[in-house]
Order: sequence, then C-alpha cells, then structure tokens
Amino acid sequence: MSNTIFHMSTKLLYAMYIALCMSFSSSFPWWALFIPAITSGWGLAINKQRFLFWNGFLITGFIWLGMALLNGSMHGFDLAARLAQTFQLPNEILFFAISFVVGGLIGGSGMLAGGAVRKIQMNE
Amino acid sequence: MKLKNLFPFIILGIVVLVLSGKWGPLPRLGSFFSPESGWTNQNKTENQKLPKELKAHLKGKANVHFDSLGVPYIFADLEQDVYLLQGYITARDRLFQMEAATRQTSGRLAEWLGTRMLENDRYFRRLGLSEAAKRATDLAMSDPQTKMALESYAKGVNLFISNLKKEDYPLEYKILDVEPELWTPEKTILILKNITYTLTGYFDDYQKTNARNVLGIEFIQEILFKDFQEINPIISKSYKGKSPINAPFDLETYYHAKGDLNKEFNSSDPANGSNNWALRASKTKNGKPILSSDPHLTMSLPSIWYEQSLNTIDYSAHGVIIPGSPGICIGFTPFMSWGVTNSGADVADFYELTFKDASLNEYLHDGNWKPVTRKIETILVKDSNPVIDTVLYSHHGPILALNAENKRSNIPVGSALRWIAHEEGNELKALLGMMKAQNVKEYTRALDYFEAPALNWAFASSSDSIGMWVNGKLPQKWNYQGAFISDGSDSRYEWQGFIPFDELPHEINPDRNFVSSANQIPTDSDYPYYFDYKMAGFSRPNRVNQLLASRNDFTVKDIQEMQLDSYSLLAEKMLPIYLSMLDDSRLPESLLSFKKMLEQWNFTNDGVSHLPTLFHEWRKQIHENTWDEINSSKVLLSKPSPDNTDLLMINNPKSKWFDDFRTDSVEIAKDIVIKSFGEAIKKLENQFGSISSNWKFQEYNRTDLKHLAGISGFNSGFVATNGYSESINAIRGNHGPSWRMIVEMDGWNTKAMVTYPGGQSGNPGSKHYTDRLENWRINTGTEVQLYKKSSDFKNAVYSWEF
Repeated sequence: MSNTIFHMSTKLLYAMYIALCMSFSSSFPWWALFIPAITSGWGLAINKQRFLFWNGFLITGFIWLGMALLNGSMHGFDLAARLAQTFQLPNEILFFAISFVVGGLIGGSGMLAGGAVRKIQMNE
Repeated sequence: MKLKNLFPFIILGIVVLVLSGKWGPLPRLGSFFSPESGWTNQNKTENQKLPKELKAHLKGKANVHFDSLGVPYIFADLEQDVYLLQGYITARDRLFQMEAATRQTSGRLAEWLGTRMLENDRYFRRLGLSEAAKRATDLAMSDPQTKMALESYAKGVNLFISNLKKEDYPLEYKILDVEPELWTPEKTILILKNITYTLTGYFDDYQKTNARNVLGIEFIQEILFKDFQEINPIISKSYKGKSPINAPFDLETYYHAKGDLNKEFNSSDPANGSNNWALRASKTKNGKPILSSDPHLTMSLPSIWYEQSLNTIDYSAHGVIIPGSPGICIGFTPFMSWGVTNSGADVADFYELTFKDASLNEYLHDGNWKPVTRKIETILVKDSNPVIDTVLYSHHGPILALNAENKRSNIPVGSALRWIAHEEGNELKALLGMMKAQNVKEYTRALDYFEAPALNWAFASSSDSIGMWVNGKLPQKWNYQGAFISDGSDSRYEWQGFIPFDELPHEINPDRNFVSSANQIPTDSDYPYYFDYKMAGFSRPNRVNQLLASRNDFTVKDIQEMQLDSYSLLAEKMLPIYLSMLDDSRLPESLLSFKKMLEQWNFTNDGVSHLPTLFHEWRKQIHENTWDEINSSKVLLSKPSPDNTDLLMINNPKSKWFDDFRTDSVEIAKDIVIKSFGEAIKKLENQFGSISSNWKFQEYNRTDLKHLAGISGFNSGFVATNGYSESINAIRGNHGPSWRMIVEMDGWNTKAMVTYPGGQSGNPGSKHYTDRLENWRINTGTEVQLYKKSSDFKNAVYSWEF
C-alpha cells in the first residue's frame, strides 16, 4: 500500500515538474527554472538518485525542444535556418538540438543538485 | 561532508557559468535558447497589439492602419502626433538599424563591438560628423517646426524603447548582447549626416594630387577629366555664363602638396548611381504627369528605406525615408511627387597645413599664425579601457591624420578637411516643407532648405509642371579648385561662397516635356561654375533620354519596364570597336568561337546570358591591362574609369598609356584588346568552368543582399537579376535600385507603383523581412494611393485606434 502511495507521489512529482517547467520556461528567465528543478530533485531523490540528472535532462530538454518546434510549426523554420547558418551549423536540426541540450543542462544539473541536498540532509 | 557530495553543486555551477557567460561571438546561451527570452520570441510577425501606452502622449485623435506588407498609414489630427507615431512604428520595425547608423556616424561602435571597431570609430570621430550634428541640431531646434518634429519623433521612439522588454529586444541586440539606447533629436540629425557621408564622403584629392605629380598634367586633362562628347547633361538647355571668379591658378601652378605617399587603394566606385525622371502630361497615354525614381544605393537587409503614409490636416504624403528621421524623403502628395539622384559634385577638399613647430599649436594662413583648436574624443570600448583621441581643427575643418600610422590610404597627413557635411543645414525643414507644398513654387521654396548632400531633385505636380533642380549647397569654385590637395596657408584656395539657389542648374517644363537625371554631368561646359564631379558615363543617362524621347504615350507599365531596361548603350558603342581590333589571324583557334558568340550579342545585360559576362570581363581586363602603371605603382594614384579608357581607345589608340611598360615591345590599344580577350576567357573558365553557357551574367554579377551588421544568416541569399551599372536597371552585385517608385499625378486620385528589395520589418524572423524581394526583382510593384481620411482606408490587416 505504502508502495502505491509512494509511486503516486513520484508520478505526481514528475507531473508537477513538467507543468512547472513549461510555465517557468515560458514566463521567467532561464535560471528561474532551477527552482522547480532543484525542488523536484529534492523530492525525487529518495530512490532515484542515480538517474536524477538524466531524468531532469531529458524532461527539460524535450520541453524546450518541443516549445521551439511548436514555435517553428506556427511561424516557420526560416529563422532557425538563418541562425544555424549564422553560427556555422550545418543545418537547423542541430540548432534545435542545442535548444534541447541547453534546456537539458538546466533541468539535469538542477535536479542533481536537489538530490544532493536531500542526500546531505539524510546523512546528517 | 564528503567531497563527493559537492560534485552535483560543482556541475550546477559550471552549467550556470557556461549558460550565462558571453563566449566569443556567441550569444549568451541560456537566455538565447530560453523559450521565454530567446530567439523564438522573434520568430513571428511584428507585435500588432494596440500600444495603449501611446494614448496618454497623443494630443489629438489618431489612428494607424497597416496594409498586407506592414506599411503603416498614419492618420492624426495633429502633425506632432504623426511624427510620434512614425517614431514609434519605425522603432518597432527597425530599431537596430536606426541605432547602428547613429553609432557608425558618431564613432561609437567600439562601445558595442570592442577593439575591432576602434580604428573605424577613430576615423569617424575625426571626420567630425558628431560635432557637425550637434551644431545642426541646435539650428533645427531653433526652428519651431523642426523642433516639434524632432522631439515628437524622439518621443515616439523612446516610448517604444522604454516599453520594450528585454525578451523582446531585436535579435541583433541579443546576439551582440547590447542594450538599446534612448533616442534624441541629435540622433535624427546624425542619420541625415550619415546620408551626406554616404553620398559625398569619398575623398580622392590625395590620389588626384599624386596622379598629377606622377603621371602629369596631360593625364589629368586628357584622360581623368574627360567625358564622352555625346553625354547628355542633366539640364537640357545651354548655358552662356561666365564664372564670377577668376582662377588664380591653373593645372601647372596649382599647389604641390608635400604630403607622404602610400600605395593601398580605397575609394568610391564611379559606377554608383541612380535614375529619376518626370514626364509632362503630353508625354503620357492617360494625359497625367508621371514621375519615376529609383535611387541606387547599397542594397542591404533590412532595406535602407522604410515606407509609410503620413496624413494630417496640413498634408497627406506617401513615400520612404531613412529609418531614424521623421517625414518623407522620396514620395508624393496630391499635389507633388519627387525623387532624387546623387549629384556627385566634389564637396570635400583637403588643405595642407604649414605648422609653426612640432607642437602643432599654430598654422600659417595668409601670412599670419592662427591657433589650432583641439577637441578631446573619448571612445568607449567594450571589454577594454576607453581610448582618448585628440582631434585637431584648423578653420577649414578637422585634420584626419597627423601621421601615417593607422591612417586610411586616401587621407593626406597634416591636411585639414573642408567638407559640406560640416555645414549647418536644416534638411529636415526641407523634407517637411515638401510634404506641404501645393505647387512648384512652394515646393522649390522648401527645396532651398536642403543643403547637403547635393542631389538632383526631379519633381512633378498634378497641375502638369515638371522640373529638375540640381540642389544643395555647392561651393563656388574656379577651374580645378579642390581637385587636388590645396594650400591651407593661402585663402585663394578656399571656397568662395556658395552658388545661389536660383543659379543652380535647373529647368522647369523644358521643351522636350521631360526631365531626367542619372548621375551624369549636370550642365554643358558653359555653365559658369565649376563642378569637379566623378559619376556616371554616357550610357545610362543617354539611354534614359533615348527611351523618353522615343514616344508620347507612356503608361505606368511602360515606365516599370523602363526601370528594368538592361540595354547597354556602352556595349553598343564599344563592342564593335573591341571586336574590330580582334584580328582573326592573331587569335588562337580555341578563342575564335567566343568572338563569333559576342558578335551575336544584342547588347542587353540579360542575367541568364553568358555574353554580357564575356563582354564585361573583357572590358575589365582591357582597363586593368591599360593601367598597369597605376596598378603596380607604389603611390596611390587616381585611376581612370573604364569609360575614360574606352574614350582613350577611340581618340588615341596608339597612346603611350596602352604600352605595357614591363615589355620591350611597344603595345598599342589593339595589342591590349587581344591580350585581354584571352585573359578574360581564361579567368571565366577558372571561375565558372569551361562550358561558356554556365557563365550566366546573374552569377557573374551576383546579387545577395547582406545584413547590415554582417550577420551572415540574415542575408537574402542569391537573387537572380538583370542589368549592370551602365544600364537603367543599374544592378551591380548588391548595389542598385534601393526603391522603385512610379507616380501618376492626379490630385487626390494620384496612384503609384512602388517596391523595394527587402521588406518593412528589420526582424529576420518576420514574414515582412524579405516579402517584397521577388516583387522588386521583377518590378511588379504594389499600387498605393492617398486617402483623404482614415475611414477611406479599407484594406487594413490590422489597425490601431487611439
């Protein structure tokens, strides 16, 4: 029983992170995203320590990628192509890949740090 | 606590550092890729929401409609509200361009871009445009009308800037990591000074002085200053004037500058130019006067022009202006329409100074020692210490170089510059006045205020008057005055006042029922005043006149086609001469077929044909091979134009200048023509491959509009074009018709076909960034008209009601 509750809260935490990540990403400066990332990392840290970085990285990366692609699908991909050319990238796909990585690094490092806080607390 | 536990925090720190830092030319990664503040914020059309913040600042009723191209139609009860809205909207669409132009002119780019712009900034500080802009601003602010326009416009721009959130900064600001600065009236004046710099800031006294010393007076007289006889001057009437000034010196006795010598070359291209013309009603099918204007400038993205319609109780005007200035520069009203071309008159002269001693505190002038004044310029440099530069001034103007170090190659050392850009003028008063003029008299009265740069103004009125005025503050000069570096200690070399407005070359309703200009010489040689000009050859102006004279039933559509005319009178004249010198017997078998091909050419600079490519490369090689003595000179010398070379070939094919001084034999024009033919073909084969049909002229004369800050991804990419500098459609690479306008004058029913290369928006993510490019390329144009009142405008994509 307690196992189910525990699983539900993990799912809930993920859902909350996804929601917060989307709203923070679109309305606050990029570094504000550390707040939900660190908090979620702290919450998830109980038994996900090893995967915290990759969880945060993938979730946030996909959200940033999705938002960039959504923007592109609404307004076209010309600007991405122009920027890719400016920064000497072979094509705009790589430009979107950078969106993914930048978002991923913020989410991943945030969750990892959150987890570390939890670990230090538990050790004490 | 274990060290291992700190590891996640170290990673976090590194991520923060990497994403927030500025790494080389890259934008700050965190903010640039963030969905909140990043590049995706610019991937959209302009903000169409009503800017409520303007309401409190507008003094009367106002509204704005935007058409499908994003062109604003501003209607306001009060004139000041028109300029406030114009400032706000122009800033919304072109903020970066506006600020970049003022920073260039005032030498403040290093503040944005660091040490790499330092020498450029130093050069602009020494040009003294900032100082001149300050004085001109004082003048404009002392006139109530221009003061109102400048202040309202600045207010509009600043309302936009102060309500602009960081995440909405134009992309260039994000990439360069800089902040927009508030606008001032002085910045508008800097924009106007920038036009004068662009059109008159090519300094060639130094090269000409060297050419006279090294190549001799005969070279100056017989080659450099010689035009084809058949060139039609702008003004069709003949003059019988006598110069009011006697020349104190001739080519022999003209001052011999003692300055240093330098070999690098850097000068304006005499192939730059524009066209404008106007037809009286009797020359048109609909019986209405037609005005055509296509100013040729460097075509960049965003476009040099911004289009708008301005409407208030006093006037209704439609046209373009350089972003950063209120009003309209080229356009039309129910009463008048007008367009400009550059006059090309020499309005920048160097004066070599004789200093008393090494302190450079005094210089000789008419036997007296006069004090040198000094101005301290502090150049702020990004990521570095500010640089202090002291600029020395004589009464002539600033001294651009005190020693050979870091100076531009065409700037003489120790010489002061007298330049029209330093004069105080109130050009804005002219622009505002033209919009209000209801007849030619009122129009020319407004025109008189436009002092610099000197332009050829073509105009047409709905009441069937047309005119051409070579207008601007043009110094009165004796023959050859200012062609070379002058003696700064002798007042006889100084400008002898200015040509009075009424004596400037002009004509109204001439017998031929049309006026035209294409940057050629303004008058016949009997005009009383001396112009030292270096502009278009005979081909383009004569072609314009040839077509205009050929019929009396022109329609707007005909004029559109005429603007695209790519015929080359130059080729028609010169190709047979070149070919006649190309003896079959002296030509290798492999080149004979190329000769046969060229014999079939129709003299049209057609983009898909390879024949113009061959002709122009051949002509270029002839020119370069003729002037071997200049190309290999250690001294920077004025080089004749290709037209000068052609003329020499016709007049004196055995001239010593055709001799290649590196060979033992004596070459004449014919030898150069034959040698150049083979070299041209070899060069084209190397560049485009051996199949000559691949040498398409549109690839040779390649158009690819560049972003003004050199951000490569924001360029246009290849645009297939026809024409070349000697054709009416004078597209040469990225230089060409920056605005095409044809106005059929008919009071409130006046209509115009307009287009330009680019689009209204400066945002590369907007559909309006290049949405007019194809329309411009084939000159289909967009029909625009005037509206008596706001409610008459029916095609708004969106509107703002205040």
